[in-house]
Amino acid sequence: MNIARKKNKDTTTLVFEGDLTIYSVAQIKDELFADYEKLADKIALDLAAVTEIDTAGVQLLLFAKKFFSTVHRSFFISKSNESVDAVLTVLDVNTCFAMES
Amino acid sequence: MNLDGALQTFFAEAEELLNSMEAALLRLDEGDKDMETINEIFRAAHTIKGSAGLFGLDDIVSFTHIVENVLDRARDGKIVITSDLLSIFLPCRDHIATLVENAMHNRANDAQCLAHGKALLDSLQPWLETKAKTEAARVPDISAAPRQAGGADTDHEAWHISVRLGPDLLRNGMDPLSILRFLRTLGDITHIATITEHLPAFNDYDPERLYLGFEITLVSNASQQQIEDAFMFVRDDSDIKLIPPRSNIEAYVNLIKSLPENSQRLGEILVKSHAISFQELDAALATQKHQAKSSGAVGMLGDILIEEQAIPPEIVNAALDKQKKISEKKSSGENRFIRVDAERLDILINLIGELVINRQRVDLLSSKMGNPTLIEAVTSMGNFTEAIRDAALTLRMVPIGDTFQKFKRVVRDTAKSIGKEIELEIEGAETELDRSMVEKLNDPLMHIVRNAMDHGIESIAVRQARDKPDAGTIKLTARHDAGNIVIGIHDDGGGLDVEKIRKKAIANGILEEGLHLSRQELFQLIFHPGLSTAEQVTNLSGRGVGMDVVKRNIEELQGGIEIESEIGVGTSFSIRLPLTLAIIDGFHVTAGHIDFIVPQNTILECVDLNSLSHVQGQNCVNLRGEQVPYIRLREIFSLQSKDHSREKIVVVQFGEKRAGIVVDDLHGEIQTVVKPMGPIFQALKGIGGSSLLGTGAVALILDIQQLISFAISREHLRNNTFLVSAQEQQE
Repeated sequence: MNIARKKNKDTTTLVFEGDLTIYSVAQIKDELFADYEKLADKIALDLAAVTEIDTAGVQLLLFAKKFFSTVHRSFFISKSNESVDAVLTVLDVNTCFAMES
Repeated sequence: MNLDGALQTFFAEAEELLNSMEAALLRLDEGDKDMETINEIFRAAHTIKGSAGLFGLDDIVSFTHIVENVLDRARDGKIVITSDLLSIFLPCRDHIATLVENAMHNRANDAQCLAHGKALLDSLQPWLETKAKTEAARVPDISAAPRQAGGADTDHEAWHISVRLGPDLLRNGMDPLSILRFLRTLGDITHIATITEHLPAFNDYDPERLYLGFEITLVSNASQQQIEDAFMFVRDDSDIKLIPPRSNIEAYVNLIKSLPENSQRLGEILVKSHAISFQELDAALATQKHQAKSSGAVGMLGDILIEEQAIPPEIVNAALDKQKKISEKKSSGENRFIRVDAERLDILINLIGELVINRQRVDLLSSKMGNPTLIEAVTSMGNFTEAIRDAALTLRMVPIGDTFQKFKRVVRDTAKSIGKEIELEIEGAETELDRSMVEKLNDPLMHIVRNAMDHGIESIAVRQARDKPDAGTIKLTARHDAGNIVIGIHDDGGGLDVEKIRKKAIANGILEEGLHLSRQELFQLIFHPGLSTAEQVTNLSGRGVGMDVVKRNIEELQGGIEIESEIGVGTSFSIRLPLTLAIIDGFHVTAGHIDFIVPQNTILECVDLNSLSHVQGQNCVNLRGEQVPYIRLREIFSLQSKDHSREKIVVVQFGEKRAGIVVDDLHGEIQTVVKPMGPIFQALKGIGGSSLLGTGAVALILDIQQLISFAISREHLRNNTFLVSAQEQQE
C-alpha cells in the first residue's frame, strides 16, 4: 500500500493504492499520520485504486476521521470504487465520509 | 498474527460434518426412515454453509445453500427422499468436500469444478420446483425485501441484534463483514449502525484491534438458533444480544441499559432503526430525568422501569438464557470432546516415555541400596507410572469404526459400478487403536476390500448357480486379542484357488516347481509383487500392484497379515497389529553380552534349552510333542560366544506361528519406550527398534515376526533339502 499526497490549495488529496486490510493497517496507519501537521485543512481520500478493504481498513478510516476532527481538519472521501462503496454501505458508514460543504 | 486458527477449526469441523452427513445418507439408503437422520444431514449442511459464510467461502455457501433448501423441504415432509435423490445427494456431499478441500489448500475452484457443481444443482431442480414461496420467505431477495415504514410495532419480523465483538477478532483472521454478509443470507438488514464510540485516543489506537460495535436490525423468518449460529465462531469473547421480533418496548430499553455506550445515542439508533418510536424513547428517557431530579441521583433507566413494573426483567435474560442453554446442550450431548493438537499429545507421550526410563533407573538404584521403605515407595510410584502411561496411551486411541464407516460408501458405489450386489457388515466398530495407525491402515484396507469386491464376490449369475444369495457380503471386524488388535476382512465370494496361485507363481518365476509350501505360505504368495490371479484386469484392481503394498504397509506397523480361504465359500484376511508403537512391555534378555528386548505379549514361555529334547539333525525342539524351530541370537547376529552350557529358550508366538529364540540369560520384565532405529539400521532384519535401559545401556528390541518366519523358513528349507532360495539370500 502506498499513499501519495497531492496538495492543491487548501486540500491535500491522499491517494491510496493497494489493499486496505488487516494485513496492512498497521503500516498504513504509520504512513497516514506521518507528519500530519503538514496536511492541509481539508483532507480528501482518493480510494479509487484500493483493491480490497475490510473491517480493519474501515475502522482505520473511522479512526482517522475522528482524530482529524480533533485537530480541526475535515476528512472525506473524494473518489472511491465499487468494492469500497459496497463495504462502506454494508457497515452503513458512507455518510461519515461525505464531503462537508 | 494467527489468521489460521479459526479457519483450521472450520476445516476440521467440516470434515467431521461431511463424514456424519455421508453416514446418515447411507443410512437413508439402507431404508432408515427416521426423521432425525434427515435432520442430521440438514444440520450438517446448514452448519457448513454458515461457517463457510463466515470465512467468505462463497462457492461453498452458494452450493450448499441449494442443497440445504432441498433438505429443508424433505425435513418439512414436502418431498420424499427417494433413491434417485440420494444418488444426487451423495455426489453433492462429495462436491462440498471438494470445495472445502480446495479452500483448505488455498486452491481456486477451477471451471471444471464449478461446472460440476452447477450440473449437480441442475439435477436438484426437480426437487426445488415449487420453491418460489418457501424460498422467498426464507431468504428474501435483498432488494425486494419488505421494508415496512412506520413505528415500532409494524416491523414484526425484525430482530434487533446488538453486537460487541472481541477485540482480537481481526487479528484471529475473522472479519465482522463476513458475519454481516452471512446475516444477509438469512434475511434483510434494514438498518445497521456502526458504533465508533470505543475508538481510543491517538496513542492508544492499535489498528489490528477491533473497536467497532454494531446495532443491526434484521428482518428475517430465521429462528433464533440460525441467527445465533452466525456468531458461532466469535461467540466466546463477544457480547451478542438478540431481541426477537415483537418484543416489548421494555426489551429495547433494557438493552440500552445493558450496553456500555451513551443511552441517548443508542436510543437514537433504535429509533432510527424503527425498533421503537421516538415518543416511546422520549417517555422512557424523560422518566429517567424526572426521577433524577426528584431523587437527586441519576437512576438507571432500566431500574426505574423495573420499579414501575413496566419491564419484566426476564425479557432480555430469557433470551440470553436460551442462548446459554442451547450452547450447554450442545456441549453436553453430541460432543463432549476437546480438540487437542496431535503434536501436544506426542510431546506428552514422549515425556512419559522418559519418565518410564527414569523410573527403571530409580528401581535399579533403590534395589541396590536395599532400603525396604525406599523400595516400597519406589514400587508404588512405579504403579502410578504405569497407570499414567496407560492413560496417556488411551488418549491417542480412536475407535476404528470411523475408518470402517468410510467403506460403506466405497462398497456401495463400487458395487453399483461393477453390477454386483454387495452388503457391508461391520462388527467391533468400537474397538480402539492408536490414531497414527488408523491413518496408515486406510490404504491397505481399501486394497483388500476392493479386491474382495472385484475378485472375491462373484457376479450374480455365478452366485445363483452356486446357490448363494444374490447379494454378496463383506464383513469388516475388529477385536482386541492379547495386546494386539485383529482386523478381519471376510467375504463370502469365490475364495482363493491355491492351485491357481501356485501355477501362476511358477509361471511368473516367483516359485520353483516342486517346492512344497504350506497352504498359508501359498496364500501369502498373493502379496508377492507381480502376482495377480485375476483373469481379467478391471479398473478397480487386478494389475498386480497393491497387495504387495498392503503387506509392506502392515509390516511397517509391526503387524502381520494372514489369509484363510476356501474355494466357493469365501476368503478371510486377518490383520494383526500392536495397539501402539510407542511404549511396550518387554522382557529383557542377553545374548553374547548384548541386551535384547522381547515384546512381552509375544512370549509363551521360557525354558532351559537343555531340558528339552532336540529333534535330530535340526534346529528344532520338542515342546510337549510339538516341534518348535528355534534360532540362536548369538548365531544370527554373529555375537561373541560365552558359556554355552546354560542357554535358555524363549518360546514366542505371532499369529498362529511359533518359534524359539535361544539366549544366554533372562533378566525379567521391563517397560520399554520404543525408539525407532536410525535410517542406517532400518534395513536390519530381526530388530524392530531400540530402547534405553535403566542402567543407561542400549537394548535392541527384537522383531519377533521376522525372527519367527526366518526360523520357520529355515527349517522348511532344511526339510525340503533345497539348497538356497532367494529368500534366504535376502535374510
